[in-house]
Amino acid sequence: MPGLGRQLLATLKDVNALLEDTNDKNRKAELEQQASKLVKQISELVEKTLNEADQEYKDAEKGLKDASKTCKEAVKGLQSVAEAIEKVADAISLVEKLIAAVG
Amino acid sequence: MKRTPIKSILLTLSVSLAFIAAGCGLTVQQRAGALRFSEATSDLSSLVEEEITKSRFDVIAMNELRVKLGDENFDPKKTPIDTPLTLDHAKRRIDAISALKEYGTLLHALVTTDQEENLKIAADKFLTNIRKVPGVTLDDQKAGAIGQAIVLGGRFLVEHKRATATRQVTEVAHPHIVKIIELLEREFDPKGEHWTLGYESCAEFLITAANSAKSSSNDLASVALVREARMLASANQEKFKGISEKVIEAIHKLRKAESNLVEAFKSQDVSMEDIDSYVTEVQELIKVYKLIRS
Repeated sequence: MPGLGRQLLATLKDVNALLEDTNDKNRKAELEQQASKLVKQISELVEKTLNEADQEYKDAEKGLKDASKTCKEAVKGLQSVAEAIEKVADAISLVEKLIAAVG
Repeated sequence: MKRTPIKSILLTLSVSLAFIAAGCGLTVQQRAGALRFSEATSDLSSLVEEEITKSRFDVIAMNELRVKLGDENFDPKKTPIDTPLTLDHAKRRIDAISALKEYGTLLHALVTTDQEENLKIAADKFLTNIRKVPGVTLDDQKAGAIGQAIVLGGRFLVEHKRATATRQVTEVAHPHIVKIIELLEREFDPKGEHWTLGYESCAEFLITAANSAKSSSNDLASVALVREARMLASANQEKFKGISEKVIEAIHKLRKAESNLVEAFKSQDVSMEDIDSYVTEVQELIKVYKLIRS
């Protein structure tokens, strides 16, 4: 999975970092679930052959980058945790679409 | 005993030919360069092999902790405990390293031995190993060229043949050695998608499992386990970052040394100082690696 593996791992790291920084129990639970989904997606994609030129690939990559950026901003207090959770959820669904497309 | 004119002429001719032949042999510098390069390939191969084994053991230890933490993303009944750095993955990398090591041994034999049998053994080992490397295809013609090059022939021409053979072997092997080096570069690239990504993912998966376990249980044993998992994951992440940077740097240096070596056998004018300095750098990096690993 050229390029995307690193981006997925970066997003997982950012979600874990935000988790450390969050005190709200509900938000923590949501972030934990999202981290767990990302772990599953990395494990699933690791053996797949992906094409960087596919639209699903590009969308997933962009979604993950946006999610990472928002998580980092949330740690700095520049964005809300809720906003970060929303962006991560978007990224996860884009990766799911990619997984469905490559079969 | 009085020599006849013909015998004297023949003797003079033989001595002259011997000098000519010796003159066409390897220079002291070329020989030293090949030996230094061979030393570096051997050291680097041992290091990479050691790292592959040790990082795999790290991954097993991290996965075992994931199991203890009750990580729902890791079921040891369905997934091998060494995932993603499985034995099969490791073997393919070790095959590439063995080919590199055997290449160093063949070069060493080429510049030091007069025994064709020893050379043949070294060449056979190199050819057998290089054929196992994924993505490296050495056709029969190229393999035959290496096999023929190492036939040194009569002792009279041995130094001349040695130089020709060494040049021929380094030229034929060069593109394949470059491929092996590229393969190792890909594996240890700190920003790459191969061995390094597998290791780093495993450490991050352990952190994720520790986070989940932390919120689901508060008893002392669980808290201690979570702490152990976090400490192990961050220590491994930190250690591996340093290791992959040093390993990749050493591989880059070896690539430069190999390319210089090929040129140095084509022309006696090429300086061996560069090879010597690259090899010294490889060996310095290996020392730093050992410090980080220990």
